[in-house]
Order: sequence, then C-alpha cells, then structure tokens
Amino acid sequence: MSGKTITRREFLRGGVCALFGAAAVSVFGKDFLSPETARASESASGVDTTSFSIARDVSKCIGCGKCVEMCSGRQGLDILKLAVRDGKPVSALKYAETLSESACIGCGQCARHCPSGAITVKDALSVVNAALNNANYQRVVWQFAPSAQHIIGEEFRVLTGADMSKKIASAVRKLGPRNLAFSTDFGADITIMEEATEFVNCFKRGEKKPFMTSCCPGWVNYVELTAPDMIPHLSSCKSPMEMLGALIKSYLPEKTGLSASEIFHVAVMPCTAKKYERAREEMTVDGVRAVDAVLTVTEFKNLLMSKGIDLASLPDGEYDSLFDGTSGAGRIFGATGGVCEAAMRTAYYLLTGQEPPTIEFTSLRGNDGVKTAEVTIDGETIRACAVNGIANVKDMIEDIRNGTCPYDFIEVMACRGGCSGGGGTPILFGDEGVRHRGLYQYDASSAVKSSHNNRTLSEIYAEYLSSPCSTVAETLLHTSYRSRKI
Amino acid sequence: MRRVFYIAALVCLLVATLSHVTALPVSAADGDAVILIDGKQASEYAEISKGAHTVAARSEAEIVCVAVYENGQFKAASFHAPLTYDFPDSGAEIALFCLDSAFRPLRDAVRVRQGAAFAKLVYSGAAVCYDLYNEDYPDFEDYTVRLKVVTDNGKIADIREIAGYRLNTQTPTNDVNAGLLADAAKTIPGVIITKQSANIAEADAVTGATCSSDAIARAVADALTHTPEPYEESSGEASAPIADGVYSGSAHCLTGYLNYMVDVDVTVKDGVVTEIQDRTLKTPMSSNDKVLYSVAWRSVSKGIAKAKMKADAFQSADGVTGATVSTAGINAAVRNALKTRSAATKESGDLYAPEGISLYARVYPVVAVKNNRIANIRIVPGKESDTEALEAFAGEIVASQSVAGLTWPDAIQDDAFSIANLTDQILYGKGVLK
Ligand code: SF4
Ligand code: SF4
Repeated sequence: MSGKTITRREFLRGGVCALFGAAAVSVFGKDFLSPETARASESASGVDTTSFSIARDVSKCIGCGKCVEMCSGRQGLDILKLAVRDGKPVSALKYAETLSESACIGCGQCARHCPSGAITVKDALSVVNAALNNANYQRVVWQFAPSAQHIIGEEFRVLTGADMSKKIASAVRKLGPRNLAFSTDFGADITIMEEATEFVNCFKRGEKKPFMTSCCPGWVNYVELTAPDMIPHLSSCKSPMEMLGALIKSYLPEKTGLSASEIFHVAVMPCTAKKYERAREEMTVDGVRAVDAVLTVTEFKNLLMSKGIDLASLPDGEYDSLFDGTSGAGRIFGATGGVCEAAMRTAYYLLTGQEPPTIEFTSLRGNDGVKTAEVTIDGETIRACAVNGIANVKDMIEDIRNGTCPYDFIEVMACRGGCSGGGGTPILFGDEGVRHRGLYQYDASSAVKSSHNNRTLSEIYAEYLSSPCSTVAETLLHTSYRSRKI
Repeated sequence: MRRVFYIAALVCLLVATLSHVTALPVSAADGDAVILIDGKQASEYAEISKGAHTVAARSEAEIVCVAVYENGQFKAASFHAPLTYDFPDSGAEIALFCLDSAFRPLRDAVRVRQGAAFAKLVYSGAAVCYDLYNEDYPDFEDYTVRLKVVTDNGKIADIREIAGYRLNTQTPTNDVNAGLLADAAKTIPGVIITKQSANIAEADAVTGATCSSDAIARAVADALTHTPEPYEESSGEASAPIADGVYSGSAHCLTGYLNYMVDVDVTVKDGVVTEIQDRTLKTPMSSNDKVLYSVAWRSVSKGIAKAKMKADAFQSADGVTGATVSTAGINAAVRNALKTRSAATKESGDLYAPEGISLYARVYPVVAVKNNRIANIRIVPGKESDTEALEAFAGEIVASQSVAGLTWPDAIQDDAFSIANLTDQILYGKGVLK
C-alpha cells in the first residue's frame, strides 16, 4: 500500500473540515430569525446519538446547509432546518429535540453530504473489529449488498460501477480463515421468491392493492413514522439482508454444526437505514440477532484501509459455497426499479409457468422519479411501478388514499437511484445510472437471470424452507409493521 | 486617512447550494481573518472587534440576508430566498446587496485576502509628494509617485517601477525630483519589505529625501487597497497596436473554495475594447462559483461598456465586494486575450462538468461534447496538479472516446483517476459514454 492508504475523498474531507470553520445556511421561508426559530435551535445543542443510523454533533456544524438541502430538497422530508444560534447559522431538527423523536427515516443523505462531520453515519467498525479479534466467534460471516459490490471500487481507483465481487471475496479471505463471504444477491433471490409469491396470491384475491415492496428500510420507516395507513399495503417480506441473515443464523449453523451465537454476521450495505433495520425487535432468529453489524460501503473501505488491504490489486476470489448460486435478478436490486423488474420476471413465471417473453423490463430502468411497466397475462394486466426516491412517494400515497392509484405493484426506494445512491456510499457527481450500468451489465451477462431459476435456492427450499410463504418461510423470512407515527 | 494594511491568513468564502433548492448560502471563515491596522486592531474598528454581530436585511423580493462577524472576524453571510426564486442571476444581486451593506468595514480586508488566490499579485498605487518649504531644493515641485507592489502569498515581495510624474499627468517629473526619488527608492522598498508594513518610521526615511521616502510608503499603502492583478513576468513591455478583431483568453480562479476557468471573447475596434463576451457561465459551474462570478461579471461588463478602454492599456474595473477573485480573473482573462491575440474560438459543443466539485478545489474535467463524441477535455487543475501530464492523460480519453482500459500514470494517479472517473460519471447519464 506504500503510503497510499488515504483516498482522495478522505483527504478532501480532512482538508475541507480544516478549511471551513464557519459557513452559512439555508433557512427557508419568512420566519427566518424569528424568536420561534431561535428558541428551537437552543434545544438542539449537544450531541444527538439517539438515531441508529446517524449522529449529530451541532458543535461541529459550519452552517453550510447541505444537510437541509438533502433532507428537504432531494428527499422531500421535513426533519432538518437551519436555525440561528449565537448569531451563527446551525443545522437543527425542525420539530423534535432528538432524532429518535423525529420522523427521520435514517436515509443518511444528510450525513453523506455534510462536509464538517457534524452529521456522521453511526460507525460500527469498532464492533466489527472486536468481533474479528474475538476467538469465541467460530465464524465471521459477511454479506455484500448488490450495489456495494459495484461501488466500493471507486474508493480504490476503479471506475464507478465495476463489479468488485471477486476482489471482495479475496479481501474477506485476507481477514482470516474464520471469515465467510456471501452476496446479498442470494438474499434478494429469496426475497423475490417470497415477495412474488405473496404478490401473486394477493393479486389473484384482489388484496393489498396496490402491493408495496418492503426491502428498503428508509421507506418502511417512512410508512411507520409518517404514513402508517400504508402498512396494510406493505409486503410482509423482510429485506434481502434480513432474509439472508435469517438463514445465516439458522440454516448455516445447522449445516456447520455451530450454534447461531458462535456466528458473527456483518452486512456491508450502501445504506444507513439498515443500521436501524438490523436492530428491530423482529429481526431475530430464536432470540439471536440475524445481523450483528451493518457497515456502510465507506466503513468497509475504512476497514480494508486500516488493514492495509488494497482491494483493486487483490487476485480474484469466489464467494463461499453455501449460498453461492445467484441470479442477475438479485443483482439488479441495487438499482431503482430493479426489485420491481426482478419481481415481474418471477411473478410472470408463477402465474403462467413460463418465462416472460422479454426478460428485460427496460421501462423500469433509469433515474426518473416514477417508472412503470405493464405485464399482460391472459388478458389480465399487472401494472407495476417503481418510485425512485422518497420525495416522489407523497403523490403516490395521496393517489392511494383517494383510490386513484392505478398500480398493482409498487416498488419504493428512499434514496435517488435506489441503493446505488444510498446514504452509505461516496458522493456521486452525475446520474446514479453510472452505478446502475454495472448492475445491468452483470445481469445481462449472467447465465441465470431470474430468482426462480437459482438452483442453490431451489435446493434450500426443497431441503429446508419447503416452499415460498410456507410456515417455515413465514417464521424466518416475514415480518410485521406497526405505526410509530410522530 | 490612516494607512490600513491587512495581514491575511485565510478566508474562506463559500456558497454551497444544490441546484434544485433555491437557498444561497455564502460564508467566510476561519478563525484567523483578523484585520490588523498598523499592526494593531485599530480603535476605529472597535465596533466590529468585540463580540458577535449579526446584520440582517430583507430585500423587496423577500430575500433575507444575514451576515455575521465576531471579534473582528468575518464569520458568515447567508442568503435565504423564497423557494420559487430564480438563481443564479438574482443570487448575484443578493450577494452584492448583503455583503455590501453588512460588511462594508471588512470588505477591503476580504478583498485583499481573496486576491491572494493568485499566488503572485501586482498592485498599483500612487501618492503625492508635497514639500512646500524645502530650502535646499528651490526647484522642487510637488509630484506624484507611482509604483507597483508585488505580493507573494499575501506578503510584500517586491516594490518596482517606482517613477515620479508631474502632478496628475503621465509626464515624468523634473530631474531633481527624479533624483530624490531614486535616492529614496534605493532603501525604502527594502525597509517596507522587511517590516511587511508601509508604516515606516521617521528614522527610516532617507535623509534629504524624506518627502519622497514618505511618498513611496504612502503609494505602497495606497496600492494595497486596490484590486490586484495577476503577476506577469513581462508586464510593462511595449507591444504593437492591436488590430481590430475578436480575441479570446482565459484565466484560472483558484482558492480554497473556488476553482474554475474564466473564458472571455474580447472585441477590439480602433484600438478600443468595445465588447467583452463571457463564455464562463456557459460552462457548468458549482453554484458558489456561479454566484460570485455573476457578481463580478455584471460589474465589470457594465464598466467596460462605459469606459471605452484602450486595448493596449487595459485597466480593470475595481474589485467587486465579495467577488474579487472573480473580478481579477475576468481582468486577467481579458489581458490574456489581448496579449496572446488568439482568434476567438467558437464554442466546441455542449460542455459538461461535475457541478459542486469546486467546493473542494480539486482537479476536475470540463468536457466538450459534439455529435455525441468527446470533442475536448479541459483540465481545471487543483493547487498542486501536474497540468501537462493530466492534459496528456485527458488526450488519451479523447482519442479512445472511452475511459475503460486506461491506466493511471504513477505520478498523477489520484488526479488521473479523478479525471477519468468524473468524466465517466458526468457523461454516462448523457449517453455519451457507455
Ligand atoms: S437521515 Fe435522511 S431523513 Fe434523517 S435527517 Fe438525514 S436526510 Fe433527513
Ligand atoms: S450539519 Fe453538516 S451539512 Fe448540515 S449545515 Fe452543519 S456542516 Fe453543513
């Protein structure tokens, strides 16, 4: 690594923090500098660590307003504002004292863009490092989100979007012989089997219309905190990370003769809301946490750098064999519209017993706010739609409330571009499409393109889970939601 | 008036907005932008020297501006507009309005500090030597001392082209005065450079030429209050008259928070600059660059139209508050155009750049796309980048019309990767790169 362990971005962050001691803000509206505003800012002092995803230390705020622009601008949410304290603009919560009392969905976009370290992603590296050094863990199991495999390269001078999965597998080997690596693609395939089955059942019975995906924890948070009347529309499926996690803490111990508590399970995600999701009460298997730690892409990069591992120069490796068969459908989960596309491939198969005539639903791709596709089977049409970014979901929810929403299946991803634009990824200049590119290329070149054709998964169903939405599957792979309306 | 001399360490002025939200924050930082007046914080600045002050104003268009300074330090200025407000054009007005009203006492300090963007700067100044009762020199007549001060990174590095003129003319003064001035000029510049202050002691003055000594010092002080120009080795050299035509030139504006290229087309007719066309704003820029540039551009372009500047003695408009680097950049670009006299280049296509990146003042590409092909990549270099090597590298991208399969040359690998990866990121969504 010869002295190149600091990336350009880290260097910039350090430099920028040193440079900008104070800066200014964007407060919207006319109530700027009103006594009300000033009072609210008073209580926003100090360090706020109440969120699972992000931490705020207002004393470091330089008042640049990036966080507010991301939260209210790009995300269309109403959590942060700029207030004036001691004559200086500072970031503050708009309606609450702490993040846990706010309707913050934990998307992490504010932290991703904060140049001063006033808002940061909650770091799990210390937990992971402790686990790596803890001999009581017989296995440290890693899973890597589809998009994470295509983003991490950017930190190691590899062009945006390149598939780094083979390098990642080698990197995990370097962390020691107890480490196992899997791709969340496999979890995504399970999700599609469960979700598409659930959807097809609902579709036939005319229930849950529109049926909404549940793999984005930012979106689930939004529903629970802001729009709990959408809970009946949510799929009961856990996210791919949690589904694979459930198997890692049930099927994997069974196969290896270990106990679930001897396994430490780390998920590397592009997402900060996943840090909350893993901590949800329901996300356990027989009382054992399914996912023990969530690292963002950036944190994983930091881990590799701290260990002197230069990802780009590693030889190619392979993921471990237990969950090794994956499909292109699982990989495209990392792009907005990808879940919808993968689900439609399998839903078509489940309804007709045949593969869809065209496997690629190109109208669901790209970075538009709302994208749609129609699948016609025996004169009946499934109207599918992908909502790209939480800011675009409000209108959709209004339509659902008014009964004017025409869709049967709606995918929602809270971050623009889907996971590819997640709060745990490096800042991107330009369209998230550049990251999607790699995902779709992988899909195009993979032999297995649909989740129901994932051989390993079919075997696990036959051997362990019986069938999608069976009782075993329901216990391990499904969950429930409750209103936490603020 | 007392001589005011500013010693600067660092001021950051930052306007950071994303295009879809119409908030326009500007700020300057950091702890050490202290104003020193004759080496001390002067009492006339007491009102800004103690405690924190916030100035807020609201414009007709419901734009609120807030400026903060504390203990004599410029802290922050911010602008808040209704969401419907149309930036950046209006942003320019607001920035001007706010900075002007709130920071009048500080703006000169900020200006000089910002001028330090160009590592070496030349300031021109003048002072009059009045000496009514000098019995030794009955021929003495009052005269004007003009000189140039060269600063290097905020320090006075050289005082040159010291010359005496008859009052308010360009005619050289008489030989006696010239001799006295030459005497003073032998030692006084050295004293000023050593002290890094134009406030020379009486004992420093050259015996028999006290008035001229003092005039030099005052001319230096005067120079430092004006807008500087970038230092050019060949400045002052005579050149042939400029033929009618349109010439193009560019200059690089680079500070801790700004990083962009100014591009202008200058029209010369009968030896006079009749028009300056701006191409800078056609290049994608970050919003902070854009606002400050617009402020400068408006002021400079208005001035030019009025002034009918002589092409061979182009004099810049004075610095625009809060946008001095940009003003200096425009002036430098115009002078470059008139110096190199290169024919105006027509726009080579659509331009793309990573918006927002200049916050980090690092190397980035501005890519010209024509017929869905990369026509050209211009490197906007950072503080320490090897521009030549990067240009060669960018040439490879243009030649292959792709960023795939490139290797990053050892000495410039981080910068080269940035150029390639940013080109990829900004062009992929446009369908130019696959
Ligand atoms: S994490 Fe997301 S929702 Fe929460 S404050 Fe930040 S931008 Fe807003
Ligand atoms: S919290 Fe960070 S992004 Fe938000 S205003 Fe403060 S410094 Fe800027």
